[in-house]
Order: sequence, then structure tokens, then C-alpha cells
Amino acid sequence: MSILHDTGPRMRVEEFRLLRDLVNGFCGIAFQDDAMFVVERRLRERLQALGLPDYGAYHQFLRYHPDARAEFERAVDVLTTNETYFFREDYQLKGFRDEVLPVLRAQAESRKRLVLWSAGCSTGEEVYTLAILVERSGLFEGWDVRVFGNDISRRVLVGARRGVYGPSSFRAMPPEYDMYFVDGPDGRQVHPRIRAMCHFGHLNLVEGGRTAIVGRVDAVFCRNVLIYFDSLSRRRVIDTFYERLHPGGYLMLGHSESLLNVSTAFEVVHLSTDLVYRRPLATPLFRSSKGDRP
Amino acid sequence: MSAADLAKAMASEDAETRRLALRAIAEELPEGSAEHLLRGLGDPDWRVRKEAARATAQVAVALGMLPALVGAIAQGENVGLRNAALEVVETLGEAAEAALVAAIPASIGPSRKFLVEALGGARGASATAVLSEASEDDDPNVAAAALDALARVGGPIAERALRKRLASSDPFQRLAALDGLNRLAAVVPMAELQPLLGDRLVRRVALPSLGRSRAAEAIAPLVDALAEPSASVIDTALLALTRLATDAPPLAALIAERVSVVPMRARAAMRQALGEDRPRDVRIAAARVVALARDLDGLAGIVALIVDDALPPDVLEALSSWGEQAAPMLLALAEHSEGARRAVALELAGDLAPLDGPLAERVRLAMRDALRDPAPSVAAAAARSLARFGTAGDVPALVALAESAPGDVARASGESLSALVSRAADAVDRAVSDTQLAGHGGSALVGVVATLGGPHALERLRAALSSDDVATRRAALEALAQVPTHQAAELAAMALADEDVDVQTTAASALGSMRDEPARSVAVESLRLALASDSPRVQAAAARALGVLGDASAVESLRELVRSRAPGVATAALEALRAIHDPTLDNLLVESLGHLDTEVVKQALLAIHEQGGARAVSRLAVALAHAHWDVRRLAATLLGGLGTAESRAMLAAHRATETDDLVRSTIDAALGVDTNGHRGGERS
Repeated sequence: MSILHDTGPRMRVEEFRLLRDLVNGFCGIAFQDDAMFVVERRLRERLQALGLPDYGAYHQFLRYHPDARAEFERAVDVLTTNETYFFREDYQLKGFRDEVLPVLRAQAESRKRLVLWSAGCSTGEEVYTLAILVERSGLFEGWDVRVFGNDISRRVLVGARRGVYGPSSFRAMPPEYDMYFVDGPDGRQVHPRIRAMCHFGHLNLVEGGRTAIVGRVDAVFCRNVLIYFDSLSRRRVIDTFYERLHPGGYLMLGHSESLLNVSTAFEVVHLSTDLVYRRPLATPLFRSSKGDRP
Repeated sequence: MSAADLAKAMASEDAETRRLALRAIAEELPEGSAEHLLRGLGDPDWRVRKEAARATAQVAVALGMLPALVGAIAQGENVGLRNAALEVVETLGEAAEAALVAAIPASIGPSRKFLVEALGGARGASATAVLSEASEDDDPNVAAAALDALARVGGPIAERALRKRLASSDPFQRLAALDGLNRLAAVVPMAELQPLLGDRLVRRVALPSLGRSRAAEAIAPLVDALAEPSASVIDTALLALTRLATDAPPLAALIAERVSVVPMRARAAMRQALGEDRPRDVRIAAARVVALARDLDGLAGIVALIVDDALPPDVLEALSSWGEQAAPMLLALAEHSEGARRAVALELAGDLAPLDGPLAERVRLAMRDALRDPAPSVAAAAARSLARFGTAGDVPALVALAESAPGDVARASGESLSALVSRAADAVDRAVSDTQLAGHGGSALVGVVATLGGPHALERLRAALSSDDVATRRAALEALAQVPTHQAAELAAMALADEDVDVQTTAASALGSMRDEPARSVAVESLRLALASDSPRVQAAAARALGVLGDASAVESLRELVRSRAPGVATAALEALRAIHDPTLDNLLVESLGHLDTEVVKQALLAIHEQGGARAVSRLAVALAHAHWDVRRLAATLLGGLGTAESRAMLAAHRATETDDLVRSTIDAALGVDTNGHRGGERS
């Protein structure tokens, strides 16, 4: 098999649709019709690893095999891009540092606990970035600070926990944060003090119930993750964030994402550099029969 | 919630309180709901307006709110109220249409414009006539709004009205009409586009239309646009050229001819459009055009797209026509890059280079060097390429990698060694005979042993079957299938008792490929025993293998398995019975059509189709009403295959109610109509 003389199994349109539906049901990720050849290429390594002759057999594997759940995770792992880096979308992080963190400090003063959630954290750069920002702000000394990162891929979580990164992860990091890293033979490792603030977990965002283990949080970062979901799953995930946030807690989305047509429960907050969302502080006088949910 | 509670909540200063009150309205409808909903639509807080719009859409018709909504749209003071009312009307669709149509004639100025916009949002069937008329309104704002609305409604009448305005004397109307046609993805004849190309204002908007025109005359203006200074114009031109080449494949050669001689400025623009900062669809379009132009300097961008798995098969095909001229540039690229990019550049160079001569030697040396690369993707690419370029001298290095390298590299090395057997059998035999197949690295080498064959092959594979590594045992069984002797069958049969279920299923599959006696008898006997396995996966694999062997003696056992609780087993058993051509399947098939698992139902449909006969059409037609699209699609395909008047009538009747686009297109293909439901040659 080679790039131009590809003799590997080909995916038929029906197989694509069946596999796409299965993956969507598992984790809410949605693939458009024009992504068929991408799905075909990326799943081919799974066919090889399992010794399966074609995508029909792979579909049957995901339907009937006792290890199907683990295989779903591997499939999602190869189908989604995991690329991220420290201080990604820094304009939003500046707003978070300068305008949101002081508000959160005031709101959580009585608890003396700050919990941030990086939803879909991939290899962990965002988790550590948030921990560094909190540490650097000096606003939370003596507090119980936790930054929790979750992902559906176990593989990326292994890397996230290790906290060792190559040059491409640092391409947007300002040099003043170098002090939070220690050089090592395999790359630069996050300083133990920062790593101690960070926790990782294997969670599927569309399985709302299990996300309760995160507890109540003060801010959720879910950037460039919702773009992979269909509208129903997107709504479900946003519902989960609303439930997990303390009143007055913040939700940060990626620059191309918004809650338009997804939820009206959040209020929009204009930061000087960005627009973010907040769970309203006020206690409503009325509750609908469906409860206080977006 | 009482009317008083509602009034109190709506008077609250807290937006969240007002929002929740509106949410509760739709469920309880207390007195004064319509007035409060209308107030909510004009609320200063966007979340309240959004909630009001959602609630109003549910109850507007019941509460007789349409005239008030029309009034809210026509008024010019509260923009929030108007937008919220527009949202409601869009949700209501045709239900709001009559009220809007009735209000338009008496309205003037901005109100008329707003109502025309709203009519476009309602997208009702009878809106197009009113909007067509409004598109020629004396008020240019109303006319522009009507053109925009026509583009939202769509359909043949809207397209006709928009095309008519392409000849308007007002350049803004021409622009709006063309923009509308682009949004509808309408195919506009070249004769109507040609006059617009001299119009500076409209020319850029004409580019997507040129892309859909399927006309050779569209190529020149699109290629000329590549030299424009604006990146967005270049992006649009690239997307349009791609569309032209895709919709009208014979034009690809003309496009290639033209883009290969573009000025330097256009060439540089095409390469820039491959950059990672550009939208992915533009990058892919640029790759397509660069591939047609055979622009060597665009290879780096193409390689980056291949790394992302983003290059469509047709572009890869265009790339394969470049031949050896691209290989030196790719080798240079490989030398200056690392990881996945280096791997792709190397492998492409190997794909395009000739097998003999100085260039082949350069490729061979580069591959040998890359075998030592620490990145597994690079080493694997090199190993794969050595399947073509390798010589006897490469065998030891490939064997070493097959034995000790990680997954992909080991597998690629093993496959290369198998390919090298035809050119350097002695060298491969010598190197492989010194290896321990029972070890962890045996899985990549057992296939090589089978390809080599010879008197000792079976003995060596037997050793691999004793490996403590599951992957090696499975690979050994797959290799045994290539030497289908009586002894090989006995070894595979023994593996049906392996402690690992994956090994057992591989053994069943291997036995299924032993079609010649005396191996076949051993295979059939052991597979029939495996049908009683505790593991549904082994049962399924054994059933399929018996189907492949076409063994009629297994029919009774297989028929029992069709009723298995495990759908995977039932599916496999039906598949096997189909393969064996069991003549007594009939009742079992009817029963299986009601199975909860779609794969079982699909197997039953296939068997019914194969049996044919008078009852096949009605049985297949029943499945057109199945809840799952894939079952309906298969039923449509099979009915189409029957091609009888009765089956065509069944399909035609079902088409009107089919909701899935893929099933509909299958029906259309079977009936010989295009995807809009028109028979060949029929166009509105």
C-alpha cells in the first residue's frame, strides 16, 4: 500500500453513514458527507490493527464485539484532531486573567476554593495554561485551586498527565512563562508545583451524568470542541456546563463558537478583548416545570 | 401560573424572571398571554426576546397573534421586537404566509421592505409569485429585499425571477440577483453570465456562477481572477475552478492547460492559498488546481494536506500523473522536514520515481537512510517504499525492523519482505530462517514465511502457533491459509481450542479459506464443532467460514443459529445459508424480517432477493417502511435490481414519503430519474 497506489479497503457510502451514526451515538461527534475520505483513511489503521478485511466488518465489530466500547474510544481518538498548544487564543486568556479571575475571587471568597474545568483538554496544554495563569495572578494564595481536564481519548490523557511537551506546544507562549517549565531529555516538563494543581479524567461530554464527578466549577473552558458535535449533543453538553457551574460562573468557547440557537440560559459578558458567557447570578422567582435548565 | 403571577413576573426588573415566566406561558396559557408574549418579543434583554420567540411560535396561531406579529414586523422603532417577530414567522413558515401576503399591498416604504423580508423567511409555497412581483418594485430597497427573499424561498419560479433581474439596468439589482442565484446554487447559462463579466461591481460575484456553468468559456475569466490582488477573489476563483472540473470532468484537461501557463503572480497566489492559515476547502481547491498545473513549488502545501488526510482521492489521482519530474523536489522536501511530512514526501517520491536509473538509486538511498529515522511514520514509509525499490542488500535491515520495531514499522517491513521474495528469495529465506518466529516479533514475519513456502514453511508456522504472543499466533493462522494442506488444516483446527477468542476466530476464518480436499474435510468437521462454541464471536466466524466453504451438511445447525439471541451470530448464520443456497429458507426469512437487529433484516432481504419469485417484490417492499434508513436503502436497491413494473411502482409510491436523502437517491437511480425527481431529459 502507498499513498498514490492505495490498494487498501474502500469505504462505501452506506458504510460511512452507518459508522458515522454509530460514532455520533457514542460521543455526539458529527461528520459531514464530504468527510468520508478522511474517515476512510483514519479508520484504516484500526482495520489493520484488528485484522479486519473491510469497513463492513469494522461496523459489525463496533456493533457486536464485547470490546466495542474500547474500540469506539480508539476510533474517536484517530478521527479527531488533538492538536493544541499553550496559551492558545491568548486574547481570551488575557480577558480571563485580568477581568474574570478577580470576579471569581470575589464570588468564591467564602469557599476559598477555585475550580476550573478544561472540557476536551486533549494533551493538557490548556489545563496547565489555566493553572499557570491562576498561580501567576497571585489572587488565590492559600486557596484550594484545582484545574480539571477531561477528554474522551485515553491516549491523550496519558500525555497530559506526563506533562512533557515538544517545541510546537510552546509556539504561542510568551517567554515570561518559561519559569513554569523544567527542561528534560524528552522535552520541557510542567513544573511540579503547577502539575499538583491539575487533575485529569476520562469523560465523554455527552454522558452528562458522569460529569458530576467534576463537582461544581467556577469556569469552564470548552474551546474548539463543540464544532465536532451535532446540534443535539451540543445542547446536551451546554446543559451539563450550566449544571456544573456555580451561579456567576463563566463559560469560555472557541473564537468560532457561540451559544446562538443552543441556549438562552447564559448571559453574555463583554470583556475588553472577548465575549464570554456566564450563568446568571440572580435567583429566579419562577421555575418552569422542567427546572432551572437552559 | 396565574395571570397575576405572570403580570408580576413580566413587570420584574430581573431579566431571568421575565424569561422564565415566558417559558411557562406556553404550558399554561394564562389570561393576557398574547400581550405578554408580544411585550416579551420587544424586551430589552435578548435572552427574554429569544424565549418569547420560542414560546410565541408554539401558541401564535392558537392565540390569533398573526396580525400583531405582522404589525411588529412592519413597525420601524423597536429593532429587537422586529427581529424576534421575524424569528417567530420563520418558525411558523407557511402558517404565517397568508397574513404577510395580505399586508404587503397596503404597506409602503420600510414597512413594505420588512414584510417582504419576512415573507422570504416564511418560505411558503405561494410566496414566490408575490416576491417575483416585488422584485420589480419601484422602491429599490423593496426590490432588493424581494430578490434576497426569493433566494431564501428557492425553487424554479424564484430562479426564473432572479435570472430575469440579471438584465436589470440597476447594477445593485444585478448584484443582488446574482448573489441570490449563487445561494441557490443555480446553474445560470453562460450567455446570461457573459454580459456581467465586464461589470466591475458584479464580476466577482459571478465567479461562483461561472464555476457551476459547466461551460468551457468560464475557464478563462476564472483563471484570470487568480491574478487579482484580493485573496478572497482568488479563493473564490479556486473554488469555482474546482467545481467546474468536478461537475464537467472533460473540462479538467482544458483547465490544466490554462493554469499551467498562468503568470507568476497567479502561480504565487495559488501556492499561498495552500497555506495552513487559509480555510480548508480553499486549501483543497488550491491543491486541485496546483495538481492540474503540475506546479512543483506547490508540493509542500500538498504534502501538508496529505498529512492531515485532507486531500481527496481525485487530487491524489491527478498527482499520480506528474510522474518522475516531481520525485527530486519531494526528496528535497523530505530532507528538510521531519515526522509525518518527511514520511509523506518520501513515500510520494517512491510512488512517482522510476524503478531504474540514477533517480531510482537516489530514492533507494533516501529510503535506506529513512529506515533509521526515529519517527515510526518515516521508518514505516521507507519500509513500504522498499517493497518496490529494495534489493537483497536491504533484507537484513527489514528483518531486523520486522522483529523489533513498533507495530506499523514491523508490519510494513514484513510486507516489504514478502514483496522482495519475488526478487531476492534466497536472501529473504536466509535472513528469515535465522529468526525466532515464536518471539514477540514473529507476527510481522510469518506472512513472509508463507510467501516463501517450501518444505520447512509449515514447520516454521507451527512454531509460531506456539508463541506466547496473540498477534503472532493470529498472524501464523492467517499465513496457514496460504498453505492449505491437510496438516495446515489440522493445525488451524487445533487453534479453535486456543485460550484467546481472537485466535479462535482467526482460526475459523483460516479454515474457511481451505476449499480443496483433503484440507476442506478437516476444516468442515472442526468448524461444525465450533458452531457450538460458548463464544458468539467464534460461532459467527465458524458460520461464515462454513458459508464460504459452501458446506450443505451444516445447514441444520446454521438454521438453528439464525434464531440465536446474539444478532452477530444470527447475521452470520443467514449470510452462510445464503452462500450455501439453502432451498428451505423461506419461513426463516419471513421471520427474520421482523428481527430487531438491522443486520439480520438486511441478510434476510438479500436472501429473499436471491430467491426471487413472485413473492419477492411484496416482501422487499415491506422493508421500505422499516424504521432504519440502511434497511430501506437496501430494499430500494434490491427492488430496483428486480426492475419489474411492480417493483418500480412500489419504489415510485414510496419516494414521496421517503425522508432520507441517500434512500431517495437510490430510488431515483433505480427509477432512472435525477435527484430532483425528474426523469432523464425533463427539466423545469
